[in-house]
Amino acid sequence: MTRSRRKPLNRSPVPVLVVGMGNPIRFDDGVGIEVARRLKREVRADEAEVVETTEAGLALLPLFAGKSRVIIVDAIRTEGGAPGAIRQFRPEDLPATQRVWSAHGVGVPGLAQVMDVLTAGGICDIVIYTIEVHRCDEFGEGLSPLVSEAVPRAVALIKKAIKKER
Amino acid sequence: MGRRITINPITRLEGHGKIDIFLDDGGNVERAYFQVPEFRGFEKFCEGRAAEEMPALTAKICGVCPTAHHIASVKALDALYNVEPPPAARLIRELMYCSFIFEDHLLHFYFLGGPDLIAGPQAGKAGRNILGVLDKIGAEAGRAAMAMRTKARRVNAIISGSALYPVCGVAGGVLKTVSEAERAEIRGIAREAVAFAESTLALFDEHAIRRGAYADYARDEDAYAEPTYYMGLVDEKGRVNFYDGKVRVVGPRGKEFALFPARHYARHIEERVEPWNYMKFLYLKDIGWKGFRGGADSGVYRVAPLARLNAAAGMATPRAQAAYEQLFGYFGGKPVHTIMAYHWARLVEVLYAAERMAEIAGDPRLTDPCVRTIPAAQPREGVGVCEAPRGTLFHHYTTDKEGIIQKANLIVATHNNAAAICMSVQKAASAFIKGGVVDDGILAMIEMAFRAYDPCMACATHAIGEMPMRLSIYDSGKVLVREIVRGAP
Repeated sequence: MTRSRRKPLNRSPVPVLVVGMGNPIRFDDGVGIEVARRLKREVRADEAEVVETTEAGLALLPLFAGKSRVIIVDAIRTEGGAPGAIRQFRPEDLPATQRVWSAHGVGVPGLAQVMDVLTAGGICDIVIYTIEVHRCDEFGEGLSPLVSEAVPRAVALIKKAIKKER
Repeated sequence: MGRRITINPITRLEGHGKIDIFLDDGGNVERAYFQVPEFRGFEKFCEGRAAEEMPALTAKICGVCPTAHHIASVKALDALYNVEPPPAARLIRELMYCSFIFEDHLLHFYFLGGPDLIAGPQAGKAGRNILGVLDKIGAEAGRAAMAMRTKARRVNAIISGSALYPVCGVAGGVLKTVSEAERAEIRGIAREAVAFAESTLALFDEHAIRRGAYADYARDEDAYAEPTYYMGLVDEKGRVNFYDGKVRVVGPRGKEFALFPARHYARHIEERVEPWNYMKFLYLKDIGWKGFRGGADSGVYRVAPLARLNAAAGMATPRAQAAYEQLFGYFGGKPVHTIMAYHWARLVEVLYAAERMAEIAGDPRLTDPCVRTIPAAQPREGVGVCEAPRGTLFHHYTTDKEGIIQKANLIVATHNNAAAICMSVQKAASAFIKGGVVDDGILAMIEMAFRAYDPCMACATHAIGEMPMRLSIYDSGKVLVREIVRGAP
């Protein structure tokens, strides 16, 4: 019963986590997932852990736990934004969650706040890359051309970001 | 790339948290509507696909409850191919489902319901969020909740084959067996889950009932109570079941109104489209649509935790049954109409889900290698049902003889509650809008009603910014007079 389990002792955890977010059956909303899938092929496992997720809000917390750096890539729609445009944010650039009315409605800034409390200040460094969408109001697969063209650019940017500070 | 970039507003899908309030000539509320996103185009998207794709496909409708859609979908496939899953497969599915309900409900209580119940209104805006809750219960309890949730998800991952989407369910069973080692691991987690559920109920008792504002809310019938019909799945003894059973509907006085198998849903539930938007409202066909109001002569019904407890005769596990009796004892009878009881009911279900997980993990049949009955019948039509965390979920597929989807109809949990949520919004709106003057307190009240129902808006992920809520107020000439947007800069 008390058989000791071998621990991977000298293996330091991969410090960078890349999270591709979105819904792959809502057209361009899946762009973050697509970027993550490409990164999985192009990034070594010891450079970064790449995951895709359709989850949102507080459900993401466990994913971030223990990571020193998190790079999020997600779709965005802004007023007058050009489809395919890539932008970079920090959590503090985004409006903080003021009132929560769904566990899934907690934004990254709110998430960072919660992590701050739960991990006693051991919060990780979060960078968010967004890709402006063109079409995501209906169900369907595939990306529209301008958004699809942004994928390799986003992949290159994120690969560079992963290598930085290492 | 500086800090001054303004994004206006960060909304990726229209319809999120949209509330329309219409005033009469005197500037008082005539009608209030709450709009949830409609699955526009989903049925079309499914047409022409092989039925067996549906469990994986529908799991992607929403990033929040993939497991619920997956289960409703595989059950629709069982019905479509007229195939009965072997005992082990049934247990595996139910176990996966209970662990999902457990973690989803837990997240809601600790991080959402909490602000109203534990931090309380006196906490003010700043304290009335998760940080306020953590302040009251301690960061340690928050960490413990997160750790417990991660363990429950481990159960899901062991069984479902993918941490992202469950992919194990197929017509007639599941694709993967559970080994004895896995069963032992799950059993350990389940036992821990039972203890955690009990300590959560104790925490609720201490911080919400004894020291919090719960008693005030619970007695404020004017603001929060609404007598309606209630719907939920029950087992053969009439007890709450998330995975299977018959749909039971009880009236506002608790009397059984209907008891039917999922395949008869269309005989009992009807959809109504309101001219002012594309959203559908569901109501009981035999009573009929009498507008947005409660009572025995209105077809409005409710689903989700409180509705399930109201609609059932009890809980199938001993500890949950005791918690169930305590709840109804506190409110002095059954059914309970106040929406504030949803939070408590959710915790009773957390305990049931944990106990049921432990029961299943202790069942030696769980590791039986026979986990699938191969479908042989020619497909035509199938309806599947389960209790999603947010209420009764139906999947209905019609196929050609090759099993290609001709028609798919989904009745999702939040749509069942949509009319009732509109009524709650209307109540709050009437209290806070008088003579055309809008009190900003309206949002707090509406949000509290929302959180009790835990409506799910996330038909696509929406993680970057806060999910915006847009409140539009129209005068008697349908002209927009005021707009309050929460969540946009």
